[in-house]
Amino acid sequence: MSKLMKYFIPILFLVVSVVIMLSSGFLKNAFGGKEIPFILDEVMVDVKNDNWNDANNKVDEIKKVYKKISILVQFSAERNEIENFYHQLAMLKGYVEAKQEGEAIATIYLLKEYWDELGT
Amino acid sequence: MNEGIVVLIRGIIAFFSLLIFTRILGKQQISQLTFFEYILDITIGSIAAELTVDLSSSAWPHFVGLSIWFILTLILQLVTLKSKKIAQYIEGEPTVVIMNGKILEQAMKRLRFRISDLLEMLRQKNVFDISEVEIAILEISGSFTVLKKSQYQTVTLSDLNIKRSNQGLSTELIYDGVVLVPNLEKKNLTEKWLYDELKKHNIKDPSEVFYASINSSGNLYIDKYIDHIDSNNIPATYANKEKQ
Repeated sequence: MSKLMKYFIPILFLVVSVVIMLSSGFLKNAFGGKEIPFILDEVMVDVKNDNWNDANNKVDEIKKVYKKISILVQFSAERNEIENFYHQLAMLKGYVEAKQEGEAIATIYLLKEYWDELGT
Repeated sequence: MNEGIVVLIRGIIAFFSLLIFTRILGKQQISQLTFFEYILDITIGSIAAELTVDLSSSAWPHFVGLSIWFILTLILQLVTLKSKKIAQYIEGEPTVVIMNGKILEQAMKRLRFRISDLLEMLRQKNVFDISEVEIAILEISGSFTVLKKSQYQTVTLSDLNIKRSNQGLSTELIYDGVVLVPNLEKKNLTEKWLYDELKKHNIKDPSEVFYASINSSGNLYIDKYIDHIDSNNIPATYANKEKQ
């Protein structure tokens, strides 16, 4: 094995490893992930305007996008960070179905916080 | 989240990162490590294990921790290599515990080294009488070095003025039934010569041979797969193991 390859292979491996470990920061914005905070804002507007059906559909849409995102960021983000978002999303769905405005808004803020912290 | 796949990827990262780091750190054997270096290795291994299976935190902090322990160890190695004083300060110094057959109690006390430990280590060096010892040193790595008084030392060929050429290393010629042609060429031998030699030992094909080597004197050692050892000559313990 040439000297160049001898040093190149481990350096390449370490670089790829670091990229994988730090990838959640940019991967969470792929596949429509960038839209999640905006959709959450829209859900908040719908909740405030009593558009519960629209809010419910948008929560489903967020879940659909987040499912793809969670697969991408699972190698670099914390397990709890990933799962907390799912749990809070399920709660939001419940509050929207029950038409509980206060709880729904609080959960939306919590979801935004979780989203910001995901992979940081 | 598929935890199995995540652990697989993180395991690969941890395994090869550890391999790269330990290769850079060098080839010291466990017996050559100081107590601190031994702990360092355990800690680095432990961080690598956490990087693999601790999914409650992301991989990056563990990798940073692993890198920091590796870098600090490397810096320590380089510093102790450059400066003898720093090396002595960090690693300590070898301590003489026996001088001219007399145990140095103060040194023993300082090292928290018991007389039973001392006697055990002497026995491991085939010393059963302390008066035979000229100097005994407890090394930094915890190993023990003993210099016997000259009258108790083993006679060597040089003491007897007998000259003998250096033996050198043996060269492997057949390994696991495969002829190692490059090694034959290094020794200026041919495959034909090897086959002729095998025939002399009633061996038709190299595939019958598990291991063959030649030493610097030109003596050929051959070990066949079939050993033809009389089972009655095998000690009972090993014979039982064979049966299992």
